Amino acid sequence: MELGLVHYLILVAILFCIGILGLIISRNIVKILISIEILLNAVNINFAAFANFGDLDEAKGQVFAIFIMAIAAAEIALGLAILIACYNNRHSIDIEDYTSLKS
Amino acid sequence: MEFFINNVWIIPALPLWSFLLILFGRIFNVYENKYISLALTAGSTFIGFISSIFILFYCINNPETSTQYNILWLDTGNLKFSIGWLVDNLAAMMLVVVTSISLLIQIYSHGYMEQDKGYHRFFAYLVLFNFSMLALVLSTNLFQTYIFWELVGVSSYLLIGFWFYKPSAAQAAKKAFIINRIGDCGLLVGTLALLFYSLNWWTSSQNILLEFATLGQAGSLALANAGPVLFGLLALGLLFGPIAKSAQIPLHTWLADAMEGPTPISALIHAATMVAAGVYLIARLYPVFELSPQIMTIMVWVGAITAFIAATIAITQTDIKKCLAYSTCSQLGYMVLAMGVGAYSAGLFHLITHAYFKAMLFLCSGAVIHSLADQQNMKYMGGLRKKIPIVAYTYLIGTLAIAGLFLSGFWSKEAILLSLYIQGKNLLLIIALITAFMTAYYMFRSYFMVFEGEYRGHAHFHKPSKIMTVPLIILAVPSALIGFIFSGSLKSIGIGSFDSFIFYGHALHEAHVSLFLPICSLIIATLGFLLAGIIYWDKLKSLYCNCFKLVEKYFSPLYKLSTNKWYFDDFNNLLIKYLILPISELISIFDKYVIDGFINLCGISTLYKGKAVSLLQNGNIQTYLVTALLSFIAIITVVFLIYII
Repeated sequence: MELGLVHYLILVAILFCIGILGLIISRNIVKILISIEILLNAVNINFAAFANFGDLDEAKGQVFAIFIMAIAAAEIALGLAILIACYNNRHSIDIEDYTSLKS
Repeated sequence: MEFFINNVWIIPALPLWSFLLILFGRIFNVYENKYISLALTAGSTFIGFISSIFILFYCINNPETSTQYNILWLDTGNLKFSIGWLVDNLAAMMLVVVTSISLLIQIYSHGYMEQDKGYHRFFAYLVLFNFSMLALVLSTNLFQTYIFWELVGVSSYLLIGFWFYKPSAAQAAKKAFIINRIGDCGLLVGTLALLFYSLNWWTSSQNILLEFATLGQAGSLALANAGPVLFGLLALGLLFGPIAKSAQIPLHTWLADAMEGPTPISALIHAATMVAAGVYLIARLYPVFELSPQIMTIMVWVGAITAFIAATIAITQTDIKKCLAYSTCSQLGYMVLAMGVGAYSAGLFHLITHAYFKAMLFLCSGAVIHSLADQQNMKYMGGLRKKIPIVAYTYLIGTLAIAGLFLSGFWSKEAILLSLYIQGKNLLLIIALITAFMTAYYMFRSYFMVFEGEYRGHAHFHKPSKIMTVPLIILAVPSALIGFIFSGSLKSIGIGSFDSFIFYGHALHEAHVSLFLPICSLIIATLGFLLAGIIYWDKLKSLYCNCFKLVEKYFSPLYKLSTNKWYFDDFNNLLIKYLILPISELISIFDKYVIDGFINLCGISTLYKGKAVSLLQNGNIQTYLVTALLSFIAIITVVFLIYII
C-alpha cells in the first residue's frame, strides 16, 4: 500500500485531537505545554505533507514548517520560563490554581 | 407709532432677558446689590409700559386695524404651528393694564420684600410672570396661548410657594397648580378637538393654525363637522381653562389659599392680571363660545353663582387677604356673567377697572399687614386711619370703587347690569344686585374693621415706607377715575366710550339711557354701606341694640355655611377620598402589576441571562478553550450545513 496524502491527513487529525484533548483535560502545566508542542507538530506535518504532494517546485510548506519549529522552540522556552516564575511564586504547577483571569 | 407696533415683541422679551440676567446673576454671584434686580425688573416693565401707551394711542387712532406677525415654529406636514404677536384693541388695552399695574407693584415690592432673604429670587419670579402674561396677551393663536397659559400657571405656582419653608404656602402652591391643571386639561382637550374638527379648513385656507383672527369661521365649520353635542363638549372643555384660571365655581378654591404668597403677589396675580387671563381667553375665544348657546348659558350661570357664593363667603372672612380674595372671585364672576350674556365690552370694562382698584386694595392690605408685623386678622386691627392715613384713604377709594359708589366700579358694574336689564334677564339681574349689596357690605365691613374704631391688636406698629405708599397714591387715580373717563360721558372732549373701542361683532346699539338702574344700584350699595356701618362702625353702633345678637342667633346656620366657605373644600376632600383615590388605586394596581411587571420581567430576564453567561468567566483557561473550541465547531457546522443545503 502506498502512502498518500490522506494518510498523512489522518495522522495529522489524530495528533491534533490528542493535542487538543491534552490541552483541555490535563491539569499539569508542563503537560499542557507538551500538548501545545503536539499541536504545533501536527500542523507541521500538515504543512510538510501538503508541500510534498502539491507544491514540489517551491517547497514553501517545508520552509514554513522550519519557521514554526523555531517559533515553537522559542515559545516553549518562554513558556517554561514563565512557568518557573509562577512556580516560584505559588509553588504549584496545577492550572486550576491559576484563575486570576477571573479578575 | 408704527415702530412700536412692529417691535411689540420687545415688550415681553425684555422681562424674559431680565429674568435670565437676574437668575444667572444670582447663580454666579455676580452682584449682591438689590437695586440692580429692581432696576432690571422695573426698567424692563417701564419700557414695556411706554411702548404700550404708544400702541394704545395708535389703536385708538386706527381702531379698525389689527396687526399680526407670525413665525413658523413647527412644521410637520399638515400641521404648521406658528408663534407671533397680535396687536389689536383688546391686546393694546391689556398691555397697558398689565404693564402699568406690574410696574407699580414691582416698585412696591421693593419696599415690601426688602428684608426678605429671597429678594432676588422674588424679583426673578416676578419678572418671569410678567413675561408670560405679556406674551399670553400678545399670542396670535390658541397654541401659543396654551404655552404661555401654562407658563403663567408655573410662575403663579412659584410665587404662591415663595415662602416654601412654610408648609401652608407649599400646600397652597400645590393646590393652585393642581386645580389649574384640571382646567388646563380641559383647555388642551378642547383645543385639540377644535383643531381636529376644523383641520381641513386650516390647511386648505393657508391660515395660521388656530389663529384668533379667523377662529369664528373655523368654529362654525367645526360645529358643522362635529354636531352640536360634540361641539358643546368641546367648548365646555375650552371653558374649563378660564374657569380654573379665573377661579370660578367649582374650581375657585385655590384662589383663597393662594393668599399664602407675599401680598404684592396677591395683588399682581390674584387680583389684577393672572385671574384676568381667564376672562381674556374667554374674550379671545368668544367666536367659538358664541356658536353654542348652551355653553353661553353655562357661562352665565357659572359666573352668576360664583359672584353670589363668593360674596357670601367674603362676608364672614376675618383674614383681610381672604376677604379680598373672595371679593376678587366674586367680581370675576361678574365678568364671566357679562361675557355669557353677550355683554362683551361690559365684561372687559369691568376687568380693567377691577384690575386697578383690586390691585390697589391688595397693596393697601399689604401695607397694613407689613406695618402690623404680618398680622392678617382683621379682629386685631382697627383705628389705623389715624396712623396711616394715606393707606386708609386709598383703601376707602378702592372700597367705594368696588362697592359701586360713583367711582370706577360703578360705571363698569352699571354696564353689566344694564346689559342684563336690556336682555330682560331679571333673575340674573336680581342675583347681580344682591351680590352688589353684599359687595358693598363686606368691603365696608373690612374698611371699618381695619381703619375705624379703636386699635384692638398688640403688634408693634411701624410706618410703611414711602416706596410703598407712593404706588398706592398713583393707583388711586385710575381706580377712581378710569370708569368715568371711559364711560362715554366725555365724548365731547374726544374720549370715546369703552364699548366703542373694544366690542365684538355687530356695531353697538345706542346706550339705553335710564336713571332707574343706576339709582337702584346706588341705593343698594348705600344700603350695604349702612348695614356694615351699623354693625362695625363705632359711631353708628349705638343705633342698634341687641338686634344683632338676635340676627346672629337665627342666622347661625347661614353664618356657618359662609365661614366654612360653603363646604367646598370639605366636599372636594370627600370626593377625592371616596371617589378619586379608590379609582386611582385601582388603576395603580394595573400599573404596578401589569405595566411594571412587564418592565421588571424584561429587566430580571436580562439579569439572569447575564448571570448565566457570566458563569463562563471562571478564570480557568481550559474552560475558555473548550468554549472557544465548541463555538468554533458550532460555527463551522452551521456554515457547512448552509453550504450543503
